[in-house]
Amino acid sequence: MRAERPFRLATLILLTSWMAACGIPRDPQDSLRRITQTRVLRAGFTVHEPWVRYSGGATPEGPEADLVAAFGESLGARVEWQRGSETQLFEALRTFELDIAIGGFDQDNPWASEVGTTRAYVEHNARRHVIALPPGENRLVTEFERMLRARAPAMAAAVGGKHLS
Amino acid sequence: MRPLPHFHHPPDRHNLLQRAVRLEWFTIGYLLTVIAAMYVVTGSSQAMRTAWVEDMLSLVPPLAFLIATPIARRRPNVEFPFGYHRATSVAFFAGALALFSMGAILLVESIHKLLAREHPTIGMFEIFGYDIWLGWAMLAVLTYSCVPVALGRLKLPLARALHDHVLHVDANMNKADWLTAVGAGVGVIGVGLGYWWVDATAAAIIAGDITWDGYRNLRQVMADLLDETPKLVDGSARDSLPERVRTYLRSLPWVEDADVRMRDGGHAFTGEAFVIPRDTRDLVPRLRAAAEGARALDWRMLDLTIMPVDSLSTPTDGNAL
Repeated sequence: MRAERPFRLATLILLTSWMAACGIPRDPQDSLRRITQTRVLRAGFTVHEPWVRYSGGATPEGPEADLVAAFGESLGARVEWQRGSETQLFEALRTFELDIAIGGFDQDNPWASEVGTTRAYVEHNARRHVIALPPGENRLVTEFERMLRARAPAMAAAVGGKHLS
Repeated sequence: MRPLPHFHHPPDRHNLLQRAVRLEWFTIGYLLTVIAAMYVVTGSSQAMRTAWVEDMLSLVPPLAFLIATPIARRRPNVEFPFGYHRATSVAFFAGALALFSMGAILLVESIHKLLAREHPTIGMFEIFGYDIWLGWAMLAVLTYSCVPVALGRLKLPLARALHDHVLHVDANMNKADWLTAVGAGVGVIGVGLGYWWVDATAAAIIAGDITWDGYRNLRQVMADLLDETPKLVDGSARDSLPERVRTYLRSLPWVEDADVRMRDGGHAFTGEAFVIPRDTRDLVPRLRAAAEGARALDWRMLDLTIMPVDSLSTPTDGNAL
């Protein structure tokens, strides 16, 4: 399919490299740069099995927790976990006190429009799941989505859901 | 009741009318594709949302034109002795009200988002199996939405030739479409560069423009409904036809002096003329010939009632007790 569309492919490559060159989109609050400079990814979680499990200690478990850990690693940052209720996590994202939050959130969550969310990546029990990030930190969101897209099929398999996108 | 004559476009204008109808159908088809594309990429950008609503509202003038034109061409009858030309104004009044109120709602919404410091999230978009930043897709769709500008340029001369107010408003809205697209594009690029407030600011400007458009159209259609003195379709000046009719009547050898009172019924003009005859010899055939002569001056002169009088001044306090 792709070989039949060399022109479109070339355009996309050009566009993407230009986008990378100008660093567009940028983060209004400079989140991604801060994470790579301070080497700390501030992540929040709330327990929601099978997405996020917690059995004591400093780190949660489950496919979404593993995803955040991998994202931190790819940025060369240590993940600083905070546990909170859904409301606390979204409030913290909204005020840029967290960089990412997990808890099996779906796109119909009433908070979803208040913060930045990824596209739905898995459908499970008729709910389309997303990961929550700070509102409008578009560089952070797009970088995270790149990783999410690569790992979504494996995560869908882990929870027995349908892989989207 | 004696109804007005049936209005027909002259043969040369009839072709123009058919061309206008084809253009309007094409406009609607094209706008539908734009609206669908905008819906796919809008995301949480307020500027895109506003531009999307504007594209939907752009359907109103072509729809008003296509719905009202066949109605307006119906033959006047005993029930509707003045014909159906006002159908266009009624359709357009509804459209202008929609434009004005939607614009005002969007304006309030955009200002609210700006004051609440809402940061629009524009993430990734998948196309042909590749992920790109949604902002690029938005800019591509906005470029695609600029095409009606060309349609506006084609419609403008038709609106003048057909003396059609709705067609004129539609042509102008199409011509102004690129401003909306550029405004929304600036919003998207601003967000891409990391300035979250550019989005809501661009949205507020576009919404202000929609509201202003609605206000102007409301004013114009209300003036039409109140039988404002006939103007050119762009409203820039008075139409010359009443003055031409008056000059024609005054040039008749049996006429001492004359004046007219006319209304623009939508496409065609009707009205009264008052003449002071030098003498009343053969008055009835002369009046009939004068009315026919006036109608021959212009295709839009649908009907003229000529009244012989001894003074041209408006009766004062006509019905006051």
